[in-house]
Amino acid sequence: MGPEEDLPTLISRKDHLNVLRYVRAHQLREPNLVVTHGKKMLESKSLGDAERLASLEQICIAACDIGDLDLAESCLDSIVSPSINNKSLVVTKDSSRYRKLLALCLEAAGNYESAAAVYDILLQDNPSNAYAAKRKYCILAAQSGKEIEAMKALDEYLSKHPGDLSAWYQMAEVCLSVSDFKGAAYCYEELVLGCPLDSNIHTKLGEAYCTAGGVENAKLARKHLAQAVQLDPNNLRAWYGLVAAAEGYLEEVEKISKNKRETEEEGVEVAKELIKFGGEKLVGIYKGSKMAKVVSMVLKESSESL
Amino acid sequence: MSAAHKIYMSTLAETKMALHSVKHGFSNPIHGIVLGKKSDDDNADLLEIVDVIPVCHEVPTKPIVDMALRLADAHLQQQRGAEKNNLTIIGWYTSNASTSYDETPNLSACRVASSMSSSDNGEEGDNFILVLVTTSGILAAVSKDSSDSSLSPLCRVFQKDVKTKTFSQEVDSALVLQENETSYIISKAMLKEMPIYDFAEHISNFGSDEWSKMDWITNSAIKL
Repeated sequence: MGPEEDLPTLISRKDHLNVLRYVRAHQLREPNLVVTHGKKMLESKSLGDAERLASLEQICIAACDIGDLDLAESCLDSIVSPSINNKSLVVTKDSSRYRKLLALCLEAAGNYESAAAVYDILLQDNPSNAYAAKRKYCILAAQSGKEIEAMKALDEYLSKHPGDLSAWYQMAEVCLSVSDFKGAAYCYEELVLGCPLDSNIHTKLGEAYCTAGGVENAKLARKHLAQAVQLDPNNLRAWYGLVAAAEGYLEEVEKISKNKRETEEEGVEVAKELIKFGGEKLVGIYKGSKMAKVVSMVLKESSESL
Repeated sequence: MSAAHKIYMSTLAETKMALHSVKHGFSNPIHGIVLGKKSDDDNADLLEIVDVIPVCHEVPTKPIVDMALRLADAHLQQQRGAEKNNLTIIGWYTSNASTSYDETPNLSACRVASSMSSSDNGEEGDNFILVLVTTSGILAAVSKDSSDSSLSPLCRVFQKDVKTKTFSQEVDSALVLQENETSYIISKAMLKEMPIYDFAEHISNFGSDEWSKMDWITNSAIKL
């Protein structure tokens, strides 16, 4: 596979093996593509054992993704089948890689108890098996009515693996779904530590603080949305967020007592400037587009209310 | 609901909600604005759901909801000024992230609906509705036998409970009217894969080639 080979080329050439390799290498989630090309590729007898096993694993996971459980089961059977020439590549049912696949198939079939039992065995053999711990959380998250248990399981996972950013992202989503915006902000703060230059994470953090409410949170919202637009001036979501957060801050300041309002004078001036600045930027972005008039109406209303 | 007792659901509104749900609804909640009017004719107890504006396919945050509502409102003002229609914002629609058969609207949709209805004045706020696009309804719409009228309706409508002030009071499905051919039209739209865009897609894809096509307010590509 050379550097000039891209996925559409490989697909049109019906190069099934390299389509699968491409998807694996780029870690794409294309289950329909994998299943279509995988089935055709398995018919070929000239496949080496190592390549065959890797492809079977990939097709099995894709089959679980699209709900083709018969295909997933047949892949599992083929993996442990004794008809392998290279004896060092024989897979037995004790293999932890095989067991991971088996448990995934059980999850896809809705057989959560058996899947959890397999993950428990994997955790017994290796207590720091992060994959098994995460799948145990996923089993709880997949069932309606078990949201609290799922949150506890994810919390426990995060206390043992605090560096796992994707788990923090998932926890943020879980917090948002139960309207715990302060909790979501905490998770996004962890993500910002891991990816300080990611404009989208600063945007999400700012939005979470803005929704949580209160003067201090409103100030933090303003700060992170301003950081987001500085990191990526084309982040339209961050520009909208900045104007909304600055307006939100002014609303919060109106609610507090007059004495405390005096300490926020400078903040109020900053917020007003941000509303004007953000508003001008947004109007500029939409100039000449279909939404230009509607955007101007909204932002004119913002600046008139200052 | 103090005045309107019956609800008429237009096929256009249902189609857009179905397409929005099918595009993003796999393990994501969807949210959007419901547009309509109280009927002017002699049958004054009728609330018409005419159209919807898709907003997002994630838990809605304050900036997203505020900005989407203000832009939608400005668009409606423009339409009223040009005498194209006289629609107002009459509700919010949602679909839950996790599927189950005994569904009630998710917490964030209830919060958004409560805050929108309390910021309206008096009677208008009481008529505010929350529409839930159900899992069983989507399954029925994508099933091959979509001509069967006994299949689950796509949406269930909720209104504010007078005592608890939460959107937990379901409107009797017998009072929710729709056109006869709705299921068939929705299936056809799904098969054609008619494109639908929401506010979140519009603000997340600035700079891409597709950006100018993402008219999330009108979604004019959806023709029935």
